[in-house]
Amino acid sequence: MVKVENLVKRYGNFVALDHLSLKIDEGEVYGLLGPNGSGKTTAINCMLSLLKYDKGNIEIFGEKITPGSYNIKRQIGIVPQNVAVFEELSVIENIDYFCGLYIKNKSERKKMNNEAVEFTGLGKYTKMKPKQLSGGLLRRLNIACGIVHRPKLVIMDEPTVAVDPQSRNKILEGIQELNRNGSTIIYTSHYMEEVEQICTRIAIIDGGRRIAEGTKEELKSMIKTGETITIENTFINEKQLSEIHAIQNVFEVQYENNILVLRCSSAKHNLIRLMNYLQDNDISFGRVFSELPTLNDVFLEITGKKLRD
Amino acid sequence: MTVFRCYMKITKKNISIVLMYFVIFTIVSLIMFYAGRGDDGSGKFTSSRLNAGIVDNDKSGVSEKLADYLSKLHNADMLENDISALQEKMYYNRYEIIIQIPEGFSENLLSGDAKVSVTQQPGSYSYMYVESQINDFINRIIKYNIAGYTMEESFEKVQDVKESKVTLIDVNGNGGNMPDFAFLFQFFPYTSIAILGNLLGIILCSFRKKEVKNRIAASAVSLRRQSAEAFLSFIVIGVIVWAAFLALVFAIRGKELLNNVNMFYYIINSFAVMALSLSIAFLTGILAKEPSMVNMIITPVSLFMSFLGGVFVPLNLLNSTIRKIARFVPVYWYEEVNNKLSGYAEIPADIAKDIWSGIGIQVLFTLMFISLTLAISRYQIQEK
Repeated sequence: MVKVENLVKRYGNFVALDHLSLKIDEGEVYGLLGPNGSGKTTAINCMLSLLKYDKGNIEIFGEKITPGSYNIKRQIGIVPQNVAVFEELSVIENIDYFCGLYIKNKSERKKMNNEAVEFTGLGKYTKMKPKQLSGGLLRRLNIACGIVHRPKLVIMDEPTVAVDPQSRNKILEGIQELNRNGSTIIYTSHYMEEVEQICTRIAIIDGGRRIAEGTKEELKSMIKTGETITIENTFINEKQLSEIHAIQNVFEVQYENNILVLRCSSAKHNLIRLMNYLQDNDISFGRVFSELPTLNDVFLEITGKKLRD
Repeated sequence: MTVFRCYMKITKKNISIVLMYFVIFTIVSLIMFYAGRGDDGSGKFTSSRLNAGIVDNDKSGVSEKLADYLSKLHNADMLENDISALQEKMYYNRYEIIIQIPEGFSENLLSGDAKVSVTQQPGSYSYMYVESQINDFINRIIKYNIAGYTMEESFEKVQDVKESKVTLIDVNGNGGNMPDFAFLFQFFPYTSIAILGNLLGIILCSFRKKEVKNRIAASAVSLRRQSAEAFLSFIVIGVIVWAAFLALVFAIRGKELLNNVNMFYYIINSFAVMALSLSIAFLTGILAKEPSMVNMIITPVSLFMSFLGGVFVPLNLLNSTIRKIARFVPVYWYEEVNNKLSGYAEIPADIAKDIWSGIGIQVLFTLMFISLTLAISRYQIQEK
C-alpha cells in the first residue's frame, strides 16, 4: 500500500532522512518508533507531499505521490502531531469542514460526521468550541477530523502527545477499531508502550535511518537481552559482582545506588540461579523484578542510547 | 465550496466585530452629519457698531484723527478723563468699551511705540475687534508715511474706508456646503479598513496556522481551488460590507444621494476604497502570526490612514507639509475625490479627469498591497 524507497531529505547540511526505506502492507498498523528528532514527522510530511525531498521515491496505492495527486490524497486521512482545527468553529463544524474537503454530498457528509462523532465519543461536545475542550477531547477531535471521510490509509503523527492515560487508552482502542474496520494505519510515536500495544509491525528510526523493522517479537529476538533482572536495596562488593557476572547467561551487570541490574540472554531459570547465589552468600536484598525485553531494550542495544534520551 | 463556506462561517462567528464598527460608524457619521447641518455662523461675517467712549489725553491733531476714524466705525462719544464717571458709564452699560488715547501718542506714533488702551465690559470680546482696528490704523499711517506721504495725506488715505462686496458662485448646488450624505462617505474608509482588516485578517490567520494549512494541503482539494474559493469569499465579504454601508447611506440620506448627479462617482469611489481595504486585510493576514495580532496591526493602520487621509480632519485643515506626506496614503486620494465630488454639482471635464485619477491611484495602491502580500507569502514559503 505504501512504498518508500531510499528517501533522502536534507535541511542545509543536516540530513533529516538518510536513505529511508519502508514498505507498508494493506491492513497493517505500522509503527514508526523513534526518539524526538529522529525523522518520523519529516517522513510523514514527505509521504503526504507536504515536503519536497532530495532523493528517493514514494508510492501510495501503487502510484507515485505528488502535490497534485488528489485521487491518492482522497483516500488518506491525516492526524497531525499538533491539533489542527479552527478555533472559531464548533466541534461538529470542524468535523464537517474537514469532511467537506473530501465529500461533496451533504447528506452523505452528515452521516459520516455523526459516525466520526460517535466513534470518538464526542457526542456530548458537538456544539462546543475547541478551546472549551480538555486536552484529551481536543485530541479526539483532531482524530475525528482526520478519519471522518473513512480513508483507506490513516497517518497518525504522535496523536497521544500530552494526553492523560484514560484518554490515551480510548484513543488507542479507537485506532485498533479503525484498523479492524479496514483502515491501514501508519502510527508514529516515541512511546514504545503504545507502539507495542497496537502495532502489527514496527520500524525503529534514528537519525533519519531505519535501524530495525519487524513485529515486536521479531525485534526483540534480534537482541541479546532475553530478561532484565533488577534487585533493589542490596549490598554487593566488587568480588561478588564479578561472581554474579560469571553466572550462566548473565552478560551485563550494573550496580548503582544499591540497585543491581542484570541483563541475561534468553534462557530458563535465570532468576532462580541468581536467588540461589544471593542466598548462598548471605546477601540481603529488597524487591526483585524480572522483565522481558522491551522495544526500549531493542533501541538501547542497537543505538547505545535510550528512546527517551 | 467547502473553503468558501468555512470563510463565511468564521465571518458569521465574528459578526460582532462588523456590528461594533458599524455602530461606531453610524454614531460618528450621524454626529458629523448633524454638526455639519447646523449653522455655526463661521461662514458669515457682519460688521457691527459698538457704543464706544473715547478719552483723548493727547489732544493732538493725530489723536483727533484717530478719534474721527473710530467714530466712523462705531457710535463714539468723546469723554473727559474722570475715572469714577467712566466706571459708572461702563457699569450702567452706556458704553461697551472705553478707548483711552494716552499723552504723547502723536510723538510715539511713527516710532511704532504708540499704545492705546481699550477697556471692555467683563465677558465681552469686542475689544479684540477694536484693538485690531486701532492697530490697523497705526500700521497704515506708518506705512504710508514710510512710502513718502505726508501725515495729512496718510490720514486721508486711511479714512477712505472702502466697502467690498463678495458674490458667492454656488458651483456645488448646495450653497457652498458639503451635501449631507458626503459626511457618511467621508468616514467610510476607517470603517471599511477596520471591519475588513479585522475580519479577514483573523480568518486568514486561522487558515495559515501551520497545522491547519498542512491538513488542508494534504486533502483532496487542489491549491488552485482553495485559492479561488478564498478569493471569492474575500470579494463576497467585501461587497456585503460595502453594500451594507450604501444601504445605511440610503437609509439616512437616500433621497439626497439619488438626486445627486455625482452618485455614480461616489459609489465607484467607495467601491475602490473597499477593494483597498481588502488588500490591506490580505497583507495583515499574512503578517500577523496570531489572530490576536490582527487587531494590533489594523487599529493603528486604520487610524493612521484615516487621520492623515482626511477622514477625521478635513483635508483643507491639514497644513501643506502634512498634505504632501498624506499623498502617500491611499485614503487621501479617496477623500480628495470625495471633496471634488461634493464641491461640484456637475463635474467639469478637467475635474472628472482628476476624479478618475484619484480612483486609479487607489486601484494602484490596492495592486501594490496585493503584490507585496504575494511577495511576502512567497518569501515565507521559501524560508520554510
